[in-house]
Amino acid sequence: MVDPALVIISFILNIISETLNFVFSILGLPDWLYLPLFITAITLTFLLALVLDILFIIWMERKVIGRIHHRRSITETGPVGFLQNVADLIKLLVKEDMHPSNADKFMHFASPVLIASIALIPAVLIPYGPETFFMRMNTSIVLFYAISTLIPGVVVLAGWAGNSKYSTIGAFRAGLQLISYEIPLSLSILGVILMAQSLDFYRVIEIQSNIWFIALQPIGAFIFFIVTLMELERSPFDIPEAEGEILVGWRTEYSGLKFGLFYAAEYFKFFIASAAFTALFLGGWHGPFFDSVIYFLIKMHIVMLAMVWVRVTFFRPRPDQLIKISYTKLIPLSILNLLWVVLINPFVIPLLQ
Amino acid sequence: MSIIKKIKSIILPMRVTGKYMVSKPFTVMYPREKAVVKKQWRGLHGLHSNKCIGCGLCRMACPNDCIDYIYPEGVDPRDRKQMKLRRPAIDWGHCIFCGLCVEACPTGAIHHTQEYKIYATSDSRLDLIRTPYEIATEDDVRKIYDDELSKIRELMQTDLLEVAAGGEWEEVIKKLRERWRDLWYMKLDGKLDEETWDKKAREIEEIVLEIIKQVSLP
Repeated sequence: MVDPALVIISFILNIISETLNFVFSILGLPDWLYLPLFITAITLTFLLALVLDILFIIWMERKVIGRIHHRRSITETGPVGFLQNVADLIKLLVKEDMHPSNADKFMHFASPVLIASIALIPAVLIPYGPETFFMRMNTSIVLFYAISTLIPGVVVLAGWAGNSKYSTIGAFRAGLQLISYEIPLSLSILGVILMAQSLDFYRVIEIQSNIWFIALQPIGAFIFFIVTLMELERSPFDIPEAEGEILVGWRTEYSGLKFGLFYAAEYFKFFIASAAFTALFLGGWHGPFFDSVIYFLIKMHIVMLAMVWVRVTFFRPRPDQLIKISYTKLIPLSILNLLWVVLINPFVIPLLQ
Repeated sequence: MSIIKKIKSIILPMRVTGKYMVSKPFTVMYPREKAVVKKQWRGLHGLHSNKCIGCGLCRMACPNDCIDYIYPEGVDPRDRKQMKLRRPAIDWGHCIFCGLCVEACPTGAIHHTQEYKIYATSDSRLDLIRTPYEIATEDDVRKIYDDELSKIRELMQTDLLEVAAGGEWEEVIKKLRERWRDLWYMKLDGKLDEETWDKKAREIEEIVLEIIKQVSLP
């Protein structure tokens, strides 16, 4: 069977190359410019698709939370309230730009841009389909998490540059959270790496064609899910931005477009973390009849729905409770998961491939 | 044992919120959809005119004095045998919708409808005072007044106008109403002919309407 997503993607690529050819023939540009322009066009198309998807995700989150509260949520702007997010974006764009009087001005303006761009880089490393990926390298999982780890550092800087007690407290809470989630995160990924015997996302997905890793190591998947929530600073682990205690934490002093960039970064992270969960535990693009990027997207959005579901259901633990959960529950459990992986590895090798 | 308990403590709340996720919302898109009203809802009043016996119990039960009676045209209110013909007029501007008049009614003539919107067609306080002909459920009894003066003529029999005006105007309207009533009785006795009565009454009614307009709705 033909993968319908591939047909659409090749159609879009055709349009891009045709347009570029037309532009080159009219303007008479040199040939060496073709490849950079082509790559830029593809990247911009991907970014456009990503932004559209994120608009959909925000809409879905608001709708689902509203439904769970027995409300209707957004309904007025556009069909079923879909354009409300666009309206919010325009509101953020036209807001007056302000900064605290004694703030570190450079970091104050640089940190939103830094966070948004750093959050976007790992999107390149994930293979979305068997033919639709940006790059393939032997150590993409390691690089992926190395880049993700940069974000809490910038968060601490952003909180410090806010020059407010709330943002400083929020920043240090974010640092605290980093320390407590980093160990179980790497241990739960280690289980996947051991089983797949590869550090490559593509190989990890390829090997799950018969059975997904969530069936082979459910404890690892569970830990990874919780730790992802911690990394995303989403409820119930939104300790760095606990509204009731420290306003919005490290984002307190940021308004307008800077807040918009933080908000966008949050959803970039949301997108990428659920993509990583899909790739590592849910078999990526594998599905019935044909392997397609469509299956990847469906699974990814189901993971997002689960995260929203968890967000509405549970309440926020205290910072000390978070550390206790991490050190006394998650780390022993993830070591147990590693042991389990080592034990069953000889028996599952014929299943994989 | 404690592990099972902990797993349950995760699954149970997820099940509750999951059930809510697929349920319908409680909120109503109000201006577009009609709000769902319970059967026992105390809405705006309606009147079954042929059931009403003019006993006066609803006026006695009213804690806010917003019910008074109107006699049909050509009936003499001084004749106590004609009392059964009078019908209640209600001032919704003062009504607190307590439902005591409905409880007091022995025949079920005055009742609450499912309607909950009190609307005024102008900014006049007069719109909130409804004559029995306006709230009647029977089509042949119900009528719509084409101008405010004809409505004022009906309402001059009641004390609702002076209560609605309130404050310093209350005494003024009371005195005007007394003069109007004298004229009315003279006409019923045959001492005034139709034309003179109409002219003299109209003068008083115009003043009353002018005062009522002063206390227009915000």
